[in-house]
Amino acid sequence: MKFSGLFRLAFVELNHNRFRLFIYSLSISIGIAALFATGSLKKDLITQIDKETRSLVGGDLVIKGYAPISDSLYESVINEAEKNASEKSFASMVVFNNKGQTRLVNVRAISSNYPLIGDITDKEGDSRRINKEQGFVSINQSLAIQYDLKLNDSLQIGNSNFLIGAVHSKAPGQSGIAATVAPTVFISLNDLDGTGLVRIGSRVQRSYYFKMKNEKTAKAAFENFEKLVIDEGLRIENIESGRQRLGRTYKNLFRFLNLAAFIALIIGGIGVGSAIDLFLSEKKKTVAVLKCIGFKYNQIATLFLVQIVALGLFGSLFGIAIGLGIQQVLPTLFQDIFVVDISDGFHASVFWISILSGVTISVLFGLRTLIPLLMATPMMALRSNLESQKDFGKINIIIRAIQLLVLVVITWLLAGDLVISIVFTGMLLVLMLSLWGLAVLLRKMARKASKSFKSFEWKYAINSLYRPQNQTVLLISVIGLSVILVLHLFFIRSSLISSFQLTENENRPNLIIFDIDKEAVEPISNFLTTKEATVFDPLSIVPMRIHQFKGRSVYEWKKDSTHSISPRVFNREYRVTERDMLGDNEALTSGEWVDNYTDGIIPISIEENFAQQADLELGDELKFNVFGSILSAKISSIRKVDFTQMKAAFTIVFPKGSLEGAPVMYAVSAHVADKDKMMNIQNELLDRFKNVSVIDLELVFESVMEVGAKIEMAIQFMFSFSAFTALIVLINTLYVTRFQRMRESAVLRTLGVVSGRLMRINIYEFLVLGILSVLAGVLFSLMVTWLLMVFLFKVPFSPDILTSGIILLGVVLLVTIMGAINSRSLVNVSPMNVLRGNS
Amino acid sequence: MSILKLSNISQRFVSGDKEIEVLSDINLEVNPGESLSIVGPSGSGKTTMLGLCAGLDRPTSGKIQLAGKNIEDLNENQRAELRRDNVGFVFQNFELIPTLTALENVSLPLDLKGGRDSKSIAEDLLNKVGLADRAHHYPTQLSGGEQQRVAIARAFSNNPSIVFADEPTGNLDEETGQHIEDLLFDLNREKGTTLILVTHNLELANKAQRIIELKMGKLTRDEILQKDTI
Repeated sequence: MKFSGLFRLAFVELNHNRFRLFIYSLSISIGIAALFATGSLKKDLITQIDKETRSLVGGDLVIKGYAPISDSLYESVINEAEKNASEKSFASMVVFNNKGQTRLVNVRAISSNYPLIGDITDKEGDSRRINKEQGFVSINQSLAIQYDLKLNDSLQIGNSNFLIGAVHSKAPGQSGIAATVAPTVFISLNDLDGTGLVRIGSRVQRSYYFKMKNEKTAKAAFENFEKLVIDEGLRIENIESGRQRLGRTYKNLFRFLNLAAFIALIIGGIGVGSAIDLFLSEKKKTVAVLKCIGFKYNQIATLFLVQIVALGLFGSLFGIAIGLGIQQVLPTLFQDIFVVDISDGFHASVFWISILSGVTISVLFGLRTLIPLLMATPMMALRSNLESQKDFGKINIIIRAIQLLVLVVITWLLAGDLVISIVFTGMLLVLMLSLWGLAVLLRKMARKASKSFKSFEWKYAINSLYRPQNQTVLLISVIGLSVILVLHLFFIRSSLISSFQLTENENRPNLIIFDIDKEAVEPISNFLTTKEATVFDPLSIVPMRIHQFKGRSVYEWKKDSTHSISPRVFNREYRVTERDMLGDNEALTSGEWVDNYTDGIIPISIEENFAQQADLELGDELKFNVFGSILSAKISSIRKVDFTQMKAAFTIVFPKGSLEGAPVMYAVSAHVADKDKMMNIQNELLDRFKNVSVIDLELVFESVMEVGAKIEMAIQFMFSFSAFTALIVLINTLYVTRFQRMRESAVLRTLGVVSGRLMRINIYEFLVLGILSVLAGVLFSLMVTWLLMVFLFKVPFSPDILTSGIILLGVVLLVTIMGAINSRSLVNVSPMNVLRGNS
Repeated sequence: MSILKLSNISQRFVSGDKEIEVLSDINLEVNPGESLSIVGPSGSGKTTMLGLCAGLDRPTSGKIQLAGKNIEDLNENQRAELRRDNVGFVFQNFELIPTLTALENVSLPLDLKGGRDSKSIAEDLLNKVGLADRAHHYPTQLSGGEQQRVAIARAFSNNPSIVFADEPTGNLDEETGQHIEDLLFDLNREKGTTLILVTHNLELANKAQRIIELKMGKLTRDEILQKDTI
């Protein structure tokens, strides 16, 4: 028989079963929708970043750092540039004079031709005014909304008063997340000195932007100046490196999005596999008859593969259609994280990858049934109860191995990292197997418990969980998995929040004042004491950067691509302190604490997470540049810091006496018990000590929580795909078992069971199914979150019972309602029609 | 030359930890065009024997020659080809493909062979079995007798050398069964095919030219009933 003949036969079969296959194919649609939407978002973002890289970077060449650039280097670069601009940015408090309120902001002092590329988008006024006239600022619109500010309202930064000259909504390279924590206020570089906030030791990032004559000049300049810039402790960026940096920034985000979509696809694949299993198991006789007629293996395989592929195709196309809709929503959800505006586009590559994924998943999960089906003996046509004498054990193992391998490959393509894909697939497998085992156990326990029930309805309902095609264990597992994904986030969030509670504990600071000169430490401490605040010991802070790392220059490390140390280790400015004892929130994990320094190489103590990130060990030597002076240091101890205590925590601690002569600023922390007084204290402080910066930790905490909530919403959105898919698998099961349920109902009614009682039996069955699913999910979630909190985050486990309870109740109700709706149509069917097969 | 030859055929199955001998040392030769009934009590091995004769299974020991080919030397695909080219089947439960119409079911073996006139041949056969007006109906739309008539038409559509029928009237009432029996033997005579049928129905069995009886896997009777057409 020609292939076209087989194809035609396959399509006759397909056409006959089109409704069923469409219902089955929906299982993978949601997963494909998620994959398509996230794939499209990624492409849209990359396209937009590519278009806007120049404006995001800010110039053809950009030099940034916490130390000022040397005059000679600056002149050299200027000589090769067409245009240049500069900026100094730092965190500071701003006082809104009309409102009597303060806020932490990101002050950006810019030169007149900033930005070189791109624009500051104004909502009101004109940001260019700040460099045309003295004493004006441009504020981020979030500030205007939050504090009800208008043009010409006044505010104070340091020693200077300003008027609001513009309200901007977007500035080059600015993300919504950053604006939430510390919104931007632009001032003129000419007005900066007047604020008195930039002093030696202040944490100020300097940025120098250059526009070159052409791409060739820009490339040459980058190569020429790179080493010189790095040797000065600064970093240099061009369009290409900027593009790579931006790509790296979002790499993990898209990795997460892809894997979250993949989980939904796997759940869908399990559902599809189960549906195909049921579908093909009905075809055993047909296969036997076809073999009797003379069909060969490959012909029968083609016949069914075409249907499985078509199933994957339907599901994918439908999923893509849904994905096109989701594509409208996703950018809004993640807009605050992105530095560019996303406009949705259609990408052919994403389309084809989605189709291929759907078809692959269908075939992959359909293989397990298809291959034994092909081995069905033709004798089955004569004897329906004949089971194959073939041993499928080995075949099943091979199929499972192929399935696992393909899944690893798919996750590798989605995550872009083989190790991550293997670990992820392994963990998912362990999770599903464990859920499966738990589901079997729970079902057994339910049955055992039901033996003591007196009610016929409950007993029958629980026994129905063992109905052959019910897929009870599958449903408990996939619904349970969705519950785990959703609950996890709630449990983690509530535990982390409760561990960071500030107000009740007077031993924790809720106010920090920094950038304090030595002379001002005592007056500030006394001032706070008069306000009945608990004042903690002042901290000295010296800014420095790494000059040499384990015997090699920073430049050599940056050029070496064989290590995995983050560039941030080399780029950042370190704020260190000197002490003669460990803090309350610290404990030594290795080495020896040196309290006082006398001479020679300085023994320093580093924090253990930093040690891990920077791949540092006891005995490693570092050289630090402190405003031109080079200090040699050696790691003598590694500390563990308890960050949940919200006390000062330093990555690097020098021993007392080792930083004599270095420019030092101080920080004072305090606990203000009365929150109502907090604002007044801050205002008075800034009024009396204009050069300091004040941070209300609770306000910062609230901002961080706000950001966290946005991120959490985005994550929950991604996990909801899994939940929807689990729902569709449930709908599929209801459809597949429909006839069987009808026959049972017909038999029960023939025996004398009334409709109402039948209805209750069905409702109880789904109620128990919902409860068992939720139980499986909750048990797992509690266990895993407890382990994470205690051993990874090292905070007490404090689950949000109320919210979780509402969600779980919702899941149980949803499953029950779906079962009830399905049952309504079944209980009223005429028994005779069903028993005759006329349904 | 015989169309079917069984030499020292034995068939054993493993059930749990026991080995069960279903057929024991069967020898049989069937000539082309002959009609043969296989009778015996339940569990005597009739269906197993039918399956072996048709190449649906391989014997544990012994040799089977069907249409000149040794079945035990062939793999499953080769046996499928042998069935495609030489064998027709009539099942007790009709076993029509539910997603194909009556016409498509009848033409299926022809399509498998790659025949060009499959549709017209199928229509002709449906006409012969009296179902020309039901050609485009699905099996679920046909009665049991009608389904079996379609099945018979299908069995003869590829012009087989031998037709196997397993309890062809087992699921039909007496009157319908009678019609089916007549149809089967009429087509058998008209086409000159060999017909081997398994049945509990002695009246049907006696319509064949030859009858063999199995008891507990052994051939206990081999009797010529009608000499004229062998």
